Amino acid sequence: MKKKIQKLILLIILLIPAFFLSACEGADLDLLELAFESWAEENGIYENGEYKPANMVEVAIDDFMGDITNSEESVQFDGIAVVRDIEKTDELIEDAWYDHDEDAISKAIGIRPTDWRLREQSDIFQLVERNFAAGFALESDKIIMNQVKNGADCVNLRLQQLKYRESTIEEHIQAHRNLDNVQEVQFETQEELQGIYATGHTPFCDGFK
Amino acid sequence: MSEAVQNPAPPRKKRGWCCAGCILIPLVSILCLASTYFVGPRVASWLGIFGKEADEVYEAAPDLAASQSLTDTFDQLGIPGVRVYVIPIKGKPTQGAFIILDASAGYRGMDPLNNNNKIFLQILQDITAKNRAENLRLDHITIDYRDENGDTATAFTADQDLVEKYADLQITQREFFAQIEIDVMYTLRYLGIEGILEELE
Repeated sequence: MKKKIQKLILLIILLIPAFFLSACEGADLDLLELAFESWAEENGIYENGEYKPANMVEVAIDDFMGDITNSEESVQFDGIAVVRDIEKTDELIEDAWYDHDEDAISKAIGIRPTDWRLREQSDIFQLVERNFAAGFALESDKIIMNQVKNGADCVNLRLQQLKYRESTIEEHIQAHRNLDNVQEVQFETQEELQGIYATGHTPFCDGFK
Repeated sequence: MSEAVQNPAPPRKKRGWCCAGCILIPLVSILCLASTYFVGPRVASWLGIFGKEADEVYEAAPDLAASQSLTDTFDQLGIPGVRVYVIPIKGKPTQGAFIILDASAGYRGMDPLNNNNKIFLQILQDITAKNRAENLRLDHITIDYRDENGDTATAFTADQDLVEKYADLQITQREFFAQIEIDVMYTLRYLGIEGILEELE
């Protein structure tokens, strides 16, 4: 039985370069094969021109344990799923603007509640679609303040937030040029941005010195 | 005399707790195992015994400027179908770079014209230079290879220290690859048994 399992694992190992062939549609094959070969040597799976399937079991167990204990590497790989969430929320935001559907933004926020960009989108949606500015950016400011408290660079983050706000409003304002609240938010955003460009400082960050 | 008297029906067996136990013990065991597997790590993570879940580690919005800067690296080299997300790491002053090489978005390899065998090194050198010049504070680079359907086919991850050693030519390409991490189990799962049989044919 043990022999059978070892044979199966050996088969799988031998097929990994072929996986890359089919999986990557011909892209970067030499690179991927070299990567796998070097990795297999380092992990004792490939030694002196021979594959050692028994050592693959050890790698698989390490991998499994890493998954359970959230090892650094395992979390980095799981980060790929987080990137997919980011892509999903970006799609929902696009749908929200296209269909004038506020619920799609709420769904996006439900997926990534601490992503300040989504809170900005929600408030800009209210502003541009309804000329509603009460409490504008309160939530995204709160998230950014939390990130700054945890060590993020305040001016850098604020600059990103303002530039994001400016470009998002600009992108969606075309049909709503005359909304006074939109113009007021735009003016304030541009004024603060000019201040940062000129002095490298913003009153928003005063509380964090 | 009636038949019933001649052949009295055997007394009906009382269903005891023993039988319920037979069902309950395996059921409880399965529930315990399942909760240990699914809930245990989350509790341990919450208590700080295990590492944090990725959802929490990368909960912040991507660093837009850093993401654009690294995406530009690929654009400038004429490599289509690549997006980069640089995401702050919770509780650390560093960020993780996720490079998405997406065949469904037009990615055809780092060197589609096959005329530059140093392109991989060049990309890592460019990323390293930007990391230093723009203070991107990269902790790791994770590469996600996606197929024509947009599914992850395989993935690699490397610490930024290792990337910089290779970019600075302190180690060879082979030494670099020996020390990266490959998500082998995911790659195997991606292909699945059907894929293995297809490859055999």
